[in-house]
Formats: sequence, structure tokens, C-alpha cells
Amino acid sequence: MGMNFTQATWFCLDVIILGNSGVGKTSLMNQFVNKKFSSQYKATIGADFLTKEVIVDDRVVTLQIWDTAGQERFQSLGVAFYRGADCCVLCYDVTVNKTFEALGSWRDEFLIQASPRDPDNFPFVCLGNKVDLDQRQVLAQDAQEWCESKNSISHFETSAKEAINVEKAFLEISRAALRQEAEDQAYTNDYSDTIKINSNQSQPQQADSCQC
Amino acid sequence: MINAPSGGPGLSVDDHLAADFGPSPMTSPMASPIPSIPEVVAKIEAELPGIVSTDDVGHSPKISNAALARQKSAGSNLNSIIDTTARKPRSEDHLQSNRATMGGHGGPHLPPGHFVSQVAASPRPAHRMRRTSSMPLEPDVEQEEDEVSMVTPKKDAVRVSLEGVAQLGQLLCRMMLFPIFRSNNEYLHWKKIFRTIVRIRLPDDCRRKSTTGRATLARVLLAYSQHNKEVGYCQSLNFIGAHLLLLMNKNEEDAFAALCVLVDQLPKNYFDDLEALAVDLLVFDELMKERLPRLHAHCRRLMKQDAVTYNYNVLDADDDPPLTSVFTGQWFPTLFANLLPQGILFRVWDAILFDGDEMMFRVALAIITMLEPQLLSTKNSLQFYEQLKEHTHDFGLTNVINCDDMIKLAYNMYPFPLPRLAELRASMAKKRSAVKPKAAEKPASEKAASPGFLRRLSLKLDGTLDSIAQETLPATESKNSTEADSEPQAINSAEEDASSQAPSQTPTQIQSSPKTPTLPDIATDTKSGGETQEAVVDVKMASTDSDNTTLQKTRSSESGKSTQSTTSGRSLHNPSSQRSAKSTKKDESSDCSNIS
Repeated sequence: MGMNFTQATWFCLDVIILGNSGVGKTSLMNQFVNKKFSSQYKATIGADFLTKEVIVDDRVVTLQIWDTAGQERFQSLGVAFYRGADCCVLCYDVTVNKTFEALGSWRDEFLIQASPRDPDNFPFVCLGNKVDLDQRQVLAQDAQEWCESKNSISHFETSAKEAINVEKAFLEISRAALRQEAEDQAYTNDYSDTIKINSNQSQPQQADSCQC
Repeated sequence: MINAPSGGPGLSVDDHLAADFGPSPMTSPMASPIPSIPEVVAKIEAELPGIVSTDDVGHSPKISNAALARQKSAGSNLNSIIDTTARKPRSEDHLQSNRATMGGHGGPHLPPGHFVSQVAASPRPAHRMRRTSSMPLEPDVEQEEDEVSMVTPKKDAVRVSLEGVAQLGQLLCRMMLFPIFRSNNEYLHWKKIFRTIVRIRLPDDCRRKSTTGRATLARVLLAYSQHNKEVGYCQSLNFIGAHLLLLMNKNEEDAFAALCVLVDQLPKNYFDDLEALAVDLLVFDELMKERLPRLHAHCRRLMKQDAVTYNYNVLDADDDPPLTSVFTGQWFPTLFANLLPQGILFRVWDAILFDGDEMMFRVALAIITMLEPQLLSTKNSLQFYEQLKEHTHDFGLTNVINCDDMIKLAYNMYPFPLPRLAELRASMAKKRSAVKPKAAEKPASEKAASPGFLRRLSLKLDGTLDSIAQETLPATESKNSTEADSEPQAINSAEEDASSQAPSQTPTQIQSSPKTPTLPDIATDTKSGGETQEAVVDVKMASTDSDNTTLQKTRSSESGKSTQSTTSGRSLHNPSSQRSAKSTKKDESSDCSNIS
């Protein structure tokens, strides 16, 4: 990172979870935040969120995790929280090949909607869920290769049910998000003086002059 | 209001299929033989030992007497009720009296869900559940039914069987249904839907015999997806369907009919591409602006603050879905089923049947109104979301929202019908189509799969799942309430006491909800906030392409009201302003603090 944070800085990191319907987005989030798993499926409508405080590299950060509806038609509903995202988690189900194949389009969709400043380096983390099941269709190696090809996305195989790798994955997610946030702030800090002057003083005049 | 069936009532299942697919060589839906039930059982046993039990769990109908009585009385004055629910225009007196009943405490003779449950008795669409259809089943189905019932009675067994269901669903899917799909894509698409449907949880009997509940619900939803091919299956219909099943004592046909009627109350495109829903989210925001200007301005400011904090063009925030849409986006498509406890939910549904979809806005507005003080005190969007979530969680059990007050407020919020609703919807639809192009070219892959296969599927499902899930469902209402109430009992009763004088309150008293003193800048800025809002939109129209200029405009309008108040702990420097920093330097001398 190389950035200097003051300890007092409070970080709220936004993480958004994307992936096809039924891959376990909500379950992963629940396992991480509440340490619970339910095999009862309850489709997420629109979007939902949970927050959790985590300690990353000796720093307390608040993770706001956005869980999204996997059904495609819900994509059209609204994407306000895409833009604040510091990290995007792409989920698939290792027992359903199609969910893996869809990752590319989820990634593209995110980049379009979120339009991050530096799309190539925006942090994604890829989770292959349901490794507790036998009927595997997606090989770890294939997933790994795909992740490599997309600018080295970190890849984890998880099981929300058995709590395999969930903690580890979310730690990495938090790190990636923190790194992203740090870069954003560094970006900001370089120009903070200028901004202060501008934001308080000169802007209103601009608007006035233009509206006539 | 119920869509005309595509085939006449006299047609058989096979006629429907024939009409649907014609003699195309690709189709021949019945070409691949359905395995007989014993075969299925054998296969299931082989793959998932233990999931199928040969023990009869002993299932007799356990419908409570009260429920039966209600059902009967429902049948008695059937015609008049059907008439009122089916056709809108009625005498205003009638409407008023019904409104009074529902807006008030729901007289003892009108239990919640009364009207919804009546709907089932109305003439059904011909495409209804095929339970009793002429579906050619193997002759031995009758005897085999008992053999296929699930192991669930013991609590320890519950988890196993729940997981089993999902696997069973996949298995059935793989074994029996694959051959009828025309392509692998069609199969995969269906499988996705099926996995979703089959694992849905019924609100009450998730513990016991949930297998049956799911299979039943799956059939209802599949039937609906046949009935309304535009929509097919949309997540959120599961919530509605589940509650309807409970209300109808697990009678699938009734639940299906009620589902049709309820959904038909909503504008077109509510569930197929969710466009109407997206429009309604914006309409709700407009209504909030009208009804709760302070809160609306506050929300707007939080959004702009987000734009600053999160480093994107503030102007974009204007096109963003309003903050509340995270919640209304869940409430509306489920018709509040994932928010409200059952008693109040059915009252709301009754109200929707009676007074149309505008009740959704009323109820949502009432909820937000009651939470206004809490929401106004939030300092960033995260807090806003959290507050709203916290106070709507365990709805009606917390001290903040009293359900009776909420319903009353919903009724008294506006005169009937809700003024300018159609107008607002039209203008919001226009606004959306103007903003939309970005997301417009999405591949409609979900729609691509023909609904015809769902029909074939459902026919087959009826023959298979039906026999697997023939158990009758336990009566639910008492169990449900104990389960739901047990934990927050103390809170609930305390709240009951606190609100005991609420019924005597007049609507106007409720409406003027406590205006707690909040941050001064919020209180003073509402008006100008609203105005600058408009201004910014205009500016955006004028210059959408130039990032620099637009950014300046936005920040100008924003600096007047929100920049100083961004008090969140997060660093608030605005990186995006850097983009405009260079170009605005030359204007630094210009000094104006207020554009309005």
C-alpha cells in the first residue's frame, strides 16, 4: 500500500457480491457475518446488506457487504451501491458450470455500472462455493486460470455450509477493499488543498453563470 | 382481470400441448417416456439412500376448525365478494365502508386476508393446476404414494431431509425432465428456475414436512409461469405464493387463483422485466418529496454525500435509485410479504385487492413516515440503511411501528384515489427511459427460453412431485404465531400497552408525526434543497458529455447545502473534484455562496 493512514481514520469498506442465482451469495455473507448457515433457500429480492467490523492488518474497518439478487431481471432495478464498491466478489457454484461461465459477464456488468477510475486494477475476488458437494463441474484449475487471465483475481474455493475458507476469503476481500480505498484516498489527498478552495468558494458562481 | 386462457376450458392437457408446439419435429414432448414412480423411487434410493422412506408418516388433514369455518363462511357470501374484488367500479359507499373496516381494526367478522381468500372462489383461469387433470399417470401411482413420503417427523431428521429435497429436486430434474428440453440451454435455464423454486421455504412449516410445502409451492409457481408467460417465474412471487398457500390452507388451486388476481392488480411489467417496479420506486420517491419533504431532502443529501465520499460524479447521484429503493425494491415486488407479519400482511393484501396497487405506496409511505425521526438523524447512507433495516426488522414488534397505526395512516395519507398517480408514473417512466440506455442492451437471456417447456414441465411435475408430496400439510396458523412471537414477547406486550390508546387517535394526529429537532442544516435547507435539485437536473440535460462542466454545476448546487454537513467519519475529500480542479482554477475568484 505504502500509504500513511492515521489510526483515527475510520474506514467503511463497501463490498458487493455478484453471481448467478443460487450460488450461495447470501449464504456466504451470512456465514461470514453471523456464522450461520441455513439450507433453506430464500431468494434475495433486489438487494440486501449486512455490516461487520473486521480487523485487517491491525486496523478496524467496517465492512458493508451488499448482497444482490442473482435473478437477471433484477439487474435493471438499480445499482446505486455498485459505485461505492471497494471490492467486488464474484461467486459461482462449483457444481454448476454455467454459474462459472457467467462470471465474465458479471464482471463486465460491474465495471460498466460502477465505472471505477482504474478498471484494470479494480479488486475482484472470485469465490467458488459449495465445495462440500460431490458433483463438481468446475475444476479449481480452470477457475484459477480464468482468474489469472483477468489480471490475477484472487480465487478461493469455499463452502458456506461447512465454513470452509469463508473467513479467509473475506479477509482477502477486506484487504483488497482496503487497498482500493487507500488508493482512492491517496488520490484525494494529493489534491485536497485545491478541492477545499474550490468546493467552498468558486463553484456556485459557475452554476449561476451557466444557468442563465 | 384474470387473463383469458389461451385454450378453451374444454381442452385437455394434450390439446394444450399440441396447440403450443404444433407438429414440429423438435417437440414431441411426450416422446421420451416418463419413468414410472417405482423406477423413480428406486433410482432415488440408489443415489440418495435414506431420503425416501417406506414408512407412512401418518398424515391426515390437520386443518383447524376455525380455518374450516372461515372457509365455509367465505363460500357462503361468495358472489357478492367476488363481485367487489373482481370489478373496481362500485358504489362509493360500499368502498368507504370497506375501507373503514380495513383501515380500522378489521372487524371481528373480517379476519385479515378475508378478501384475498375470497378470490380463490372466483372463476379460475383455465390453466390451473393439473392436479385433477387427465394427465396420464402410471396406474400404480395410487399405491405408491405412501411409499414416497419423506422422512421428516423427527426434529433430528430435519436437516437431512431439507438438504435431501434440494438434491431430490436436482435428481428428478436430471432423470426425468432433461429429455423434454429442446436444447441444453433450455434445460439449464429451467434447472435454474427449478432449483430456486424447489428450495423455497414456506414461512411456517420450514421445520416440518417442508418437502411438501416446497413441492406445493413449486407447483403453484409453475402453474403461474404457465398462466402468465411474460413473467414466467420471478423471484419474489415465491414469497407471495407461500403466504397465499398458508392462507388457503395449502389448497394449491386457490393459492394459484389468488396469486393471479393479486399480481394482476399490479401494473404491467411489474414482474417480467421489473420496469414498472423501477418506475414505482421513483414514483415513491416523488411521493416522499411531497409528503415528507424534509426526509426527502435529507435522503438526497446523503446520496450526494455518497457521491463525494465514494468518488464519483455527483450528477450521477440524481439518476440513481433513491436511497429508499433498497427497501421498497424488496417491499413492492413481494407485496410486503418479506416485511410484514402475516396478520397485517393479509390486511394489506385485502386493501390492495380493494383499492388497487396505490395501497403499496400508501403503506410504504406510512412506514417511512413513522420512522422519519430516526431516519432524519442519520448522518450517512450507511446509517440510513441500517436504521431503516433495524426498525423494519421484526416488523410491528418493535416499539417504533404499530401496525394498526400504520394501516390507518396508510388509509388517511391521501384521498382515494391517490392523486396524480397515473401522471407520476407516466413521467417517471419517461424519466427512466431517458436515463436508461446505459443498461438497455442487456441480453434478454431469461426471456429467451420459451415458456412452453415450463408447461410441459409442470405437467410432468404434477405426475411426479405430486405423488411424492402427497402428504397433507399441517395446520399452520397457531404454530406460526407461537414461533414468531415467542422471542420478542416481552417487547410486544410492552408495546401493546404503550399503544393501547392509539386506536382512539384520529388520523390527523398520527399524520403529524413527531418532528424531532434535528440537525439545523437539515431543517432549514429543505426548500432550497428541493429547488437546487431541479436545477441540477436541468443542467445535466444541457450538458451531459462534459465531465468538467457538469461536475462544477453539481458541486455548486451541493455546496450550498450539503458539503459542510458531511460529517461522516470517513474521509470526505472529493477525489472526483480533482478532475475538475484544473479547469475550475480560473474561476476561483468568482465567489458566490448561494445559488438560490
